[in-house]
Amino acid sequence: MGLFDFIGDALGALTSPFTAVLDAGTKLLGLPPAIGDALKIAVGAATGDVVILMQGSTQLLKDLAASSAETEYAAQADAAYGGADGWAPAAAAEPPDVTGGTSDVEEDDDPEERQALETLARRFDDLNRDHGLFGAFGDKVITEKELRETAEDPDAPLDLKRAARYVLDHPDLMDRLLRSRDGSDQGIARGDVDLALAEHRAGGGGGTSGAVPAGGDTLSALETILASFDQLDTMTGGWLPADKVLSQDELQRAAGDAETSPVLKRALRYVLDHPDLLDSLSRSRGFEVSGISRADLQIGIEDARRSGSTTPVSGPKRPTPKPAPGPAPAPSGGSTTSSSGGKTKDPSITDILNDKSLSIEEKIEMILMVLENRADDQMLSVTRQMDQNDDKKTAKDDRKKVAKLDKVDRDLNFKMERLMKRKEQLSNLLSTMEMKFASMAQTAIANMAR
Amino acid sequence: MRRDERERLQAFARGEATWAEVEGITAAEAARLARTGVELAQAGRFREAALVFEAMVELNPRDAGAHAALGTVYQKLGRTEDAVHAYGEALARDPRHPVALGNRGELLLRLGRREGFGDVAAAVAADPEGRTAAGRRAARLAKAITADAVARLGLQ
Repeated sequence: MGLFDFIGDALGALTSPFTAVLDAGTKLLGLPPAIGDALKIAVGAATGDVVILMQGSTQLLKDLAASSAETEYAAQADAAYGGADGWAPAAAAEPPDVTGGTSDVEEDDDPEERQALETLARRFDDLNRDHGLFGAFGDKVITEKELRETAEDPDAPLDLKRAARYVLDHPDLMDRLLRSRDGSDQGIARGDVDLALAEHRAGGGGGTSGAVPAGGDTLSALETILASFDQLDTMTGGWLPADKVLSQDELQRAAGDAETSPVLKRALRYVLDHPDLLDSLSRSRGFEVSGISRADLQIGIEDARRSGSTTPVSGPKRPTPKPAPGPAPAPSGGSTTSSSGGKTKDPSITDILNDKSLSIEEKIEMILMVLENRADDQMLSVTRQMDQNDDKKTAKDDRKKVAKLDKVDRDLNFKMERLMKRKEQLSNLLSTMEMKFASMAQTAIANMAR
Repeated sequence: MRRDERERLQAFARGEATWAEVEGITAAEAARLARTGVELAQAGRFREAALVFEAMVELNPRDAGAHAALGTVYQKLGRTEDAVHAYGEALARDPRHPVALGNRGELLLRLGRREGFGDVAAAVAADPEGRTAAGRRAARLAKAITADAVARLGLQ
């Protein structure tokens, strides 16, 4: 069945749930009861108008499609009363978690800022006063003007006024928040608020003294951008094939887009705020502009992993013409990775290791999976280098140079073999772990009978 | 084996306790695990995010939030039927779970299934303050549908 093919169904059966939506919408929009009643009568009459109404919502669904199913973890409602059904009782009662699994309440250097940000997040729609037609088609950002209106509105609820005033009275916070555009409006997008809240939780006031959030260091910023590459490569607007290169403009546009997810925003801003890193990555040519290709990002990711650095002091280095020997094989089942000559600190592995909710077995399993993914990435990168080498060979007449490229080829093949072996080892380890878990569960159940 | 451990394992075998209770995993620890899953999903690493929420569901099948979050990740992975199933599992445990209601409603409407309207309306009722993203989306959808209907019927 295609989208909304059911429109042709018997209309009488449709009206009840649809009326419920209209009822909810009428209340949310604050429409007079008379209009709500008229709507219900129109729908209840089951005339052709119902079909028209459905078609209207089809378009609305399409409009919402771009950002569907945002992942969030809302704990059970009764957790507030210590229920937390199915989880072990805690030694001390903890506050419930309702948004994004972010219940840790750590030491807060500025509780007022946190409160203001939480109000912005919770009451975003109320603060976004430019609602357009019945509040349905307004912009997606809260402008400074709207904040002022709320702060000065004698009828605005207290919490909204307090939050608006706090932001207006703190220009540094305002600067951090006011970074998105929707059409011609510069303002605060929902993602900006989420980002500021995450930073606040991580270290307070936009600092990063705590755990580095996803997208907040070189490695995870580049990984996040790579994962969203196609979404960012929009210069041709779909009229022409994408140019496969991310220009600074494209990065800036996405970083300021109200619809961009907080993690991607953080990653983009990280790169934009580090010009050295941006320069070292922007080495490919697109349509009339230089920018960052997938391969540039992959090189940057490899370099960041190799250096173990979370700050781009000098940016990732380009590879030397000769391929360097591959990293030492990962220790099997170890909790950290190490390579010859230095430590290789991976934030995501650190996250796994620091996650107290994971058992040792789960940590090992997750780390193995991360390592396996990295082996995949490295294999992809070597394949690309081999392709480039082949291209160069066909273009060279000089025998000496071709011989040199042959040598590079042999080195790359050797590296590829090692990577394949490593990936196989990791896969075997992973399946061994899974079998071990299954047998442990069986043993536990068998023990219970004794 | 200590007596309390043995009792917990026996309760698990009888289906009275979850594996999380056997292992002593608290709701706060679950929230931290969920945050990892949410961040992975926000970074576009849906396969790993699914792994996290699948683990949470295994640890505590009674956690409606974990089922609902898993549904959102399945949806992003294009596993529509699995997503609908996961939302259903969440709602079987908590019929007023706004994340499950809002996302299932929207998904069903996309699939051309009219029950979606009921879910959207129920999501708005379950989350009147818009504390969840799904609740806010449901409210936005309900508002937009109503405004559209008012305009089309010439009631304004």
